[in-house]
Amino acid sequence: MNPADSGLLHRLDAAARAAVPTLTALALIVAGVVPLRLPEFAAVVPWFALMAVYYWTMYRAELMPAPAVFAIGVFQDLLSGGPFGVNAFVLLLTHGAVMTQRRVLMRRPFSLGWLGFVAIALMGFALTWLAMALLNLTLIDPRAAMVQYVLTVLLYPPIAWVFAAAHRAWVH
Amino acid sequence: MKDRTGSVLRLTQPLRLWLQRFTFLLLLAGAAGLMLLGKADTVIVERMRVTASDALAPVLDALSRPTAALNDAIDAGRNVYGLALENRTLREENARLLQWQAVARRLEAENAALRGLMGFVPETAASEVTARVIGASGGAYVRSVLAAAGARHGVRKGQAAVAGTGLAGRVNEVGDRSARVLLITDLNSRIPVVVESSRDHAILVGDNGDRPRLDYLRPNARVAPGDRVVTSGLGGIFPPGIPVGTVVAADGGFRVQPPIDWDRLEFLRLMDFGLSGPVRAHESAGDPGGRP
Repeated sequence: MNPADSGLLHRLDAAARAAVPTLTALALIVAGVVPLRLPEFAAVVPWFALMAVYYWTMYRAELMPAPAVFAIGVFQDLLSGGPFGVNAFVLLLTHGAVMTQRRVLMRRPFSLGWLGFVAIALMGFALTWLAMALLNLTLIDPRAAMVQYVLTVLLYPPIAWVFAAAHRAWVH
Repeated sequence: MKDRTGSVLRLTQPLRLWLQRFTFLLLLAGAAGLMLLGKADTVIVERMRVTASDALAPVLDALSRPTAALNDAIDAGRNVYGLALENRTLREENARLLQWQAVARRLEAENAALRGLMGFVPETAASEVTARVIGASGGAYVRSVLAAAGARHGVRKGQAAVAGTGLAGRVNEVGDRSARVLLITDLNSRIPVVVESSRDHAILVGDNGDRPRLDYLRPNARVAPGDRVVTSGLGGIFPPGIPVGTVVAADGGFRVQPPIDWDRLEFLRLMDFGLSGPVRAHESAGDPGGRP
């Protein structure tokens, strides 16, 4: 094998590894819209994209840059059928918020990282609710969003565990 | 040497940071712009959506099949339970329905005779496409589903989507092989309906709950819980008479309970009644040589 080949392979490999964070987010978004017969689940399906953006921004910020966050948000906006641009906007703000705090959050044990998620997700959900209400020009019953928030927060540890496994297996 | 790289770093570090912040703000403005675009120009956004859902339709279709099998297994397990009781109720119901059948036959004949006397023009027969539901909306703010049929199967915007015996929604975005159906429970759904017995007109307004609200009733409308509600046909999008649900009293007003199990929406019948209501008139408004 000549050195040029291995250089190309190496670069392809590096690119594939760098794409893992974005791909995990996209895969979870698709999984989130598959119809299941769990009562009321479609309305309160956890916000997987937020978990992905939070986790990867915190641990591998260089692999979850703002353009990737934007693309993830637009993808979810396209797939959800709701008002356009809201997910992209709120996910970007979340990304920005984590960027300012990541040095603090990263050094702590996982439980504190989770608390950080609890707080940042609350902001994200509140902003989304506000944006939806403004874009629809009506007060939306917030109960479904609240349940969605609680589910998202509760499911963060197991999903983060999956991210961590992907992190160890493919990204390092 | 070491000092030099240090000073270069000192110079490039702020530049990179500045570039990062600039990109971030640019994208944030872009996202805000998308929100405005989605409000102002629905055509572009719709085209993007349709392209995305068309591209993902095969994936979602494949993913929804094993879950369908899993769901069937869950149901089968649940059904064995209480089979004897169900049998008995079904037998009783069957006897009752046979009586109704006799009544319906008599009425049908009478109706045909009366229509013959009146010279009544019958509504055009509907053609329909049955499509599998391959995507839920996945979120607290939208009630819509993705169906695995599109323009190539004859699906068009504005068609009624019927699940079982009741109106489920309206086709509002059509791709080549997928279509998005806005459910009657969605925040943006407005359906002109009529209370079957009293003929009182109303608008069925969705609010993301399971039971849409009955708005704009006359103040002295004779509506009571249990009354059947059907589409009125006003607006020319739906034909009159598609069952929507039954009236229930709730928080000072009336709501409609659709006969649909929203958690088990597996197939939708997308019905074409050949109507050219406002939806299609609006679509063809762009080209001057369109429909008069």
